[in-house]
Amino acid sequence: MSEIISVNNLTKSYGSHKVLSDVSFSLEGGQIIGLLGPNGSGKTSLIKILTGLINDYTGEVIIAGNNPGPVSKSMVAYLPEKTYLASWMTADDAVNYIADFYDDFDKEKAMNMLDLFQLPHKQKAKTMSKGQQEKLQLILVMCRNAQIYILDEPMGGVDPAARDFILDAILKNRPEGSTILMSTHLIHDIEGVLDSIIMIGRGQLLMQDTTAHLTETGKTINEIFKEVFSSDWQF
Amino acid sequence: MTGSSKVNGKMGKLLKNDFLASARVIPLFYILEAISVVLFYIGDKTQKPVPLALGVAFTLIVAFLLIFISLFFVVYDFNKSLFSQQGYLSFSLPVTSKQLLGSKMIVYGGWMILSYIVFTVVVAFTGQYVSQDVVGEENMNLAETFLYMFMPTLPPKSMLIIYLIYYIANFFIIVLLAVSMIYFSIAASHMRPFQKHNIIYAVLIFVVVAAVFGLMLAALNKFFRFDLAMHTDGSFGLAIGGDSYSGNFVALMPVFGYIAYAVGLFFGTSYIMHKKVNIK
Repeated sequence: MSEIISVNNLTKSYGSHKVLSDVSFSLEGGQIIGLLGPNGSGKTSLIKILTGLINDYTGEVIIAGNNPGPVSKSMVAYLPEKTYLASWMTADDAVNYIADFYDDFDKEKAMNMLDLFQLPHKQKAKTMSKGQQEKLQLILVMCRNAQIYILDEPMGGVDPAARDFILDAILKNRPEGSTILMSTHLIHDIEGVLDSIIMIGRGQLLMQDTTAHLTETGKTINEIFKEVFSSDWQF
Repeated sequence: MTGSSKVNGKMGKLLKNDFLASARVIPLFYILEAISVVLFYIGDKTQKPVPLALGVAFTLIVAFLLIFISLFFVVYDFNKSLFSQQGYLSFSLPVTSKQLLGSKMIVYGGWMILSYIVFTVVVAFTGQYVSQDVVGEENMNLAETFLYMFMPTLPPKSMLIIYLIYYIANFFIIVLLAVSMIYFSIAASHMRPFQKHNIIYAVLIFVVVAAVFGLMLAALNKFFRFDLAMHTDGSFGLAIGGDSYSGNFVALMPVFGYIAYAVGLFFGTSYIMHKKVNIK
């Protein structure tokens, strides 16, 4: 497998507060990778850098052979943890908007998925429930035939039934050979589908390994996470 | 298709979607203006004082509102679509910051210019209409009389055309400069040191940007002034320094100052958007 994401000596600070400190790793394509870490560990900052939302950092970031920018953004399907749709957009407007900007977006599939997910085509996003908005954003992301999917807490804030539904939608709609980098706190729910994990804490890379190797000892990823981020990390 | 050509082709899509976003509210005010003008027309034809008075009043009020609403949307859309949660969508699009900014300047600057044009036409027309009774004769006749009286001292037609082009171009440039100043102030107010009280800082930064511009323009006019001098035989020339020529002229330095400042602010704003802003 070829290298799809490469990060070398990445450091990012907000004023005097360092959120990522000399982080280096590389990811092979075609995998589902879990980006794990406690709150404030730097996961979202790392994701924002990979998706080109933050550009003032030191170090080198390469996404499918490109620095983060318009070309890499055309290859990456990004699901932020926030709801980002404009207040004037209906579900149809949102689908048309994404179809305008991403050549790999399957508009027909998106329209079908709106029906499948029972989302009203003409309802404005601002009047939808949080769950409906999250479903709509998931459709917008998973109907792209992207090389890389970067999902920030895709199952955060939803009930367990909805989590299964979201995970199922991600796995079913993922193009063959694509890479998924997914940050989450809900390790138990997703560890069965992960090929490898990256753990970061206090802005530093603590662990990168395949799940097969990590679970050889009989421990689950969730247990390993708890061991790594023991009570010392809560202070 | 290469990656860069794909990206370049997205400017049209940005313009389309920015226009669609703005077209949900702003055109409603143009429709309201059209209804007011119709009311005005009906009042004039029927000579009934109530619809006529309402028509004149609404036409002027809505013309004012058009400018206000265009200005409001310059501020509101830029802030909302780029620096609120919607920024996650805007900044993850496969376009550059310059394209995001350029599209908004064209669409919302365009609405501002159109609103000013409508406002100018409405005020001139209603002013002319209302003052007819006060002056006691047709204003156009009065204007023709004045033109006839002063015709011998008026500059030649070619000069008047130059003046007209100059003032229209100046007007467009000043509107775009004002939009550039607003965009720069909003973008800068979302930088980390100002983020907590960004509304207050946006106003302060705007005042500073405008003051710097005023000082810069005054200095340039004092030390590097140059004008387009227009001779009575219809020829033109460049007059350097201001004192060297006392005939008809149009000042070129302010125009270049407006353009240079607007371009500087454009690049400054796109740099801030790209490098210095972190969407919350």
